[in-house]
Amino acid sequence: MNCQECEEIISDYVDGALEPGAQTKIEHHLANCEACRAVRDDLLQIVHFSKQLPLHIPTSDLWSRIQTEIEAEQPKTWWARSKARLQNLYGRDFKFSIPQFAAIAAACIIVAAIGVVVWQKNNSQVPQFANAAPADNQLQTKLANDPSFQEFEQTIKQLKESVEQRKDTWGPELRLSFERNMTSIDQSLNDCRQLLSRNPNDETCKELLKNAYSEKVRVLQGFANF
Amino acid sequence: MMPATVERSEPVSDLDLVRAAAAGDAAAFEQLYHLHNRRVYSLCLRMLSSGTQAEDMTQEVFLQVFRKIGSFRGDSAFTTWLHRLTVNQVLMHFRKRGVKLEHTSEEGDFTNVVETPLQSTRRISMVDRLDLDKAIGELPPGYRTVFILHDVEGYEHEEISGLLKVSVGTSKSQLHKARMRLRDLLKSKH
Repeated sequence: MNCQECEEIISDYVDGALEPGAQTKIEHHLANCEACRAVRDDLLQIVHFSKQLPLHIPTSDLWSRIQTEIEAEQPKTWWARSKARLQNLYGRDFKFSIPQFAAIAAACIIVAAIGVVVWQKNNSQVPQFANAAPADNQLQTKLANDPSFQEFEQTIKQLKESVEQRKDTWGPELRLSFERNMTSIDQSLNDCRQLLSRNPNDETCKELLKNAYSEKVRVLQGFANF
Repeated sequence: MMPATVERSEPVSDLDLVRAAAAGDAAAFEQLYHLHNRRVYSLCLRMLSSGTQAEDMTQEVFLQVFRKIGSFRGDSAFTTWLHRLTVNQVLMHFRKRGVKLEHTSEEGDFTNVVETPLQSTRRISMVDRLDLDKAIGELPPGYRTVFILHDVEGYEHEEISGLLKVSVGTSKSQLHKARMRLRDLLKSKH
């Protein structure tokens, strides 16, 4: 081996990456060549000290700059903030599909509609609701016998079981979000039931109740996937 | 403003801080910054050779950390994840600016590399260590990138090959040239 051949593989030698045969050859050359030994020694030192370089310190206002940028990036809307928190919480690009988004929008409309209807009924038809309590029992019986509501109840029961199994993996924020959603939807369902109990033949009330059930199913499906 | 902070009296692990930061704990994110900013900044400074650019890059790195912290699963150490993110940011910066590796043949051009040796008895002292740091900044960008990734940060040639989209042979060749150039630079300082 001559000096040029030695130079070609000396970095691999310094890194301990040579095959045994090449290593034997270069060591034989190094034993007899002071110039190449000096190169080896210098490279060993460079490699050695490169792993011990001092750390540099940025200027003290860098954190302030970063903080300002972060605050400027903070989503301004409630929706964007919630979405961002969910993204952070679950570590993925959390996106509602169009149907999911439509479902949420529909839920908001239903809740608002129920509120309006309840308000109207409470304010315009109070005498008609005087015997509401006995009608509740009749309603429960009627709902229990209605195949479409039975189907809802069955689906909701299954989904709740799935959700219960998933709950252990949830963080506190998701649990809270779930409880809030359920409280809101159950409140809507109760409102619908009350309306229906007062107006058992009101098709609008029936439709509202069905929509509320649908929303509960959709929300449970969403949480069952977390 | 970011959400409320959590008081801490005892040291917590990176993973705990990451989880807290991902849940919106501003204090946890700040703590992560203070724990790791010097390492990120030092890497940026060495690769970019400009204090201003290194600070801008460090800022961008921590903004990326803030945006992506929820995707950190803890499969590797946070420092490894942060380090890789930093390297990728710098390399992206290089690509945008059209910085390329110095030209070498696939096998490496090793002609004219036999230099007058340093005195074999001379050791690199603490002062030389600072000289070495400075000399790294004087390397051409391509050599510097490979040298920092391999010798300073401990990447393997196969990883560098993947990061820089070059062959392993090119990575080895650039590393050797970088070391020899450093040797020249250090020699000229004495």
